[in-house]
Amino acid sequence: MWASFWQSLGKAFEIIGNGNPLMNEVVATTMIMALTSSIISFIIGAPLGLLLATYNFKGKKVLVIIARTLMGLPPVAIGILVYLLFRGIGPFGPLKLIFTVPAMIIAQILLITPIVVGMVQTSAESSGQALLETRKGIRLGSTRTFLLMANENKYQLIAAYMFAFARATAEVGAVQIVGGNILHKTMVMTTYIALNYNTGNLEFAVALGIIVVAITLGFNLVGGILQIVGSRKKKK
Amino acid sequence: MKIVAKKSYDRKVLDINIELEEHKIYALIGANGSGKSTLLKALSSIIKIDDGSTIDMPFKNNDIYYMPQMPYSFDLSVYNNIKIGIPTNYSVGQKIYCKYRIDTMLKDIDLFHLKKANATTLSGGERQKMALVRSLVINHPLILLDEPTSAMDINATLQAEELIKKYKEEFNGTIILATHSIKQAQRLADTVLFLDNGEIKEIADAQTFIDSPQSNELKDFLQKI
Repeated sequence: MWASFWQSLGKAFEIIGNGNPLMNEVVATTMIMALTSSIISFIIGAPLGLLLATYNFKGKKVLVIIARTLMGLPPVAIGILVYLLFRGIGPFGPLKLIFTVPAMIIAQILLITPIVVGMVQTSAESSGQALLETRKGIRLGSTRTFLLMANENKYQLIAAYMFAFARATAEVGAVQIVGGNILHKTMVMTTYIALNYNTGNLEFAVALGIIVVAITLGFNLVGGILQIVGSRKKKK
Repeated sequence: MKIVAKKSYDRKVLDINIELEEHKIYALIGANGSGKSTLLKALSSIIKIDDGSTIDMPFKNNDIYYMPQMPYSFDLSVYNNIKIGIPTNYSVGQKIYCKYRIDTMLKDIDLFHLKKANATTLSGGERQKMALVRSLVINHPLILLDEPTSAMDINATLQAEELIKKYKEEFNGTIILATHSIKQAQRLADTVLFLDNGEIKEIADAQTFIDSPQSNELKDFLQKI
């Protein structure tokens, strides 16, 4: 029973070792989509999360509830929403973005941004409230407060970005709907894995799965190293 | 300055009606929960006072500096933590003078050797020292210090008090500090205000407080400390 498992795994490593132009293309498309969407989501979501954690204002609780609700939205629901908006007869149909990488990026941004907001807000909340009296006492301006909050939560911000990137890389439901898994155009690692699984090409699916895990692991290692270097520097 | 302030806190009501003079050091003494911190936070607009009450002070909000009992240490060096208190629109000359003041005060309070250390690695007393230097580095017409030496040992407390006295001599601002120590009030304050259950029960100089306390609450408080 285990023999077939190890055999598939061995073949998967063999495929990775030999290289494959299509696989390289799929990995490149995935990287473009995941990096672009995670960076944009982070640029939008991280400041919003920090603002929610730092300032108390009317309607804050409502915004937090909305962000947390959006965090739990199923990817296929976002996929269908973006599809309805960008399909030929949709309000943004004339932009002709459906079944393109930009449409996939838009879906990913809608999916990941609330997660970044929620993660940053939750982790920065404690320091935000702890420094409330000090920053008000010092009469710190908004810009300085915001920059200091970003500095106080730099490791949480790194973690939030890592998670955003991992989510963008591993997501399949939304990108399948709005991207269409078109060969040489919108095929990404997760949709290619699903396709290979459906066609019984398990070794290819496993090979791509290994690459997805390796990329995510690599990113998280970089994040982990940054955190260790930071805490060592602090101790000095 | 006239303070008529009401503020609900911890199921009690802070009910203050006093007139204070500028350019003096006031000490607020009282037991835990007597309303010292609530009053300081109300004066610094960190918390809002209840409707109908007024705080009539000749200071703008930006002229008032408040040091909380547990000051936050930013993930920066001690020097940069203190520098945060310097307004960004200061001229180069003013900034150089502030730098000189920071160094001098850090030496006076025995914290100069930690100038470059990360502030998050400091002990509670060292954090209070750093926050006190941050409070005193520039001229604030009104400084509110909430138990500024509560985590310091006696030597550090005396050094901190010297720093406060020097600041007062140099800038002649108004300082209100909350403390549990009648001795500290005696060493520093021109006038002492005794707070009990949100109300000011007695106002006098510290020696009068010690020699002839009037209210039973003050007698009780002095006996316990």
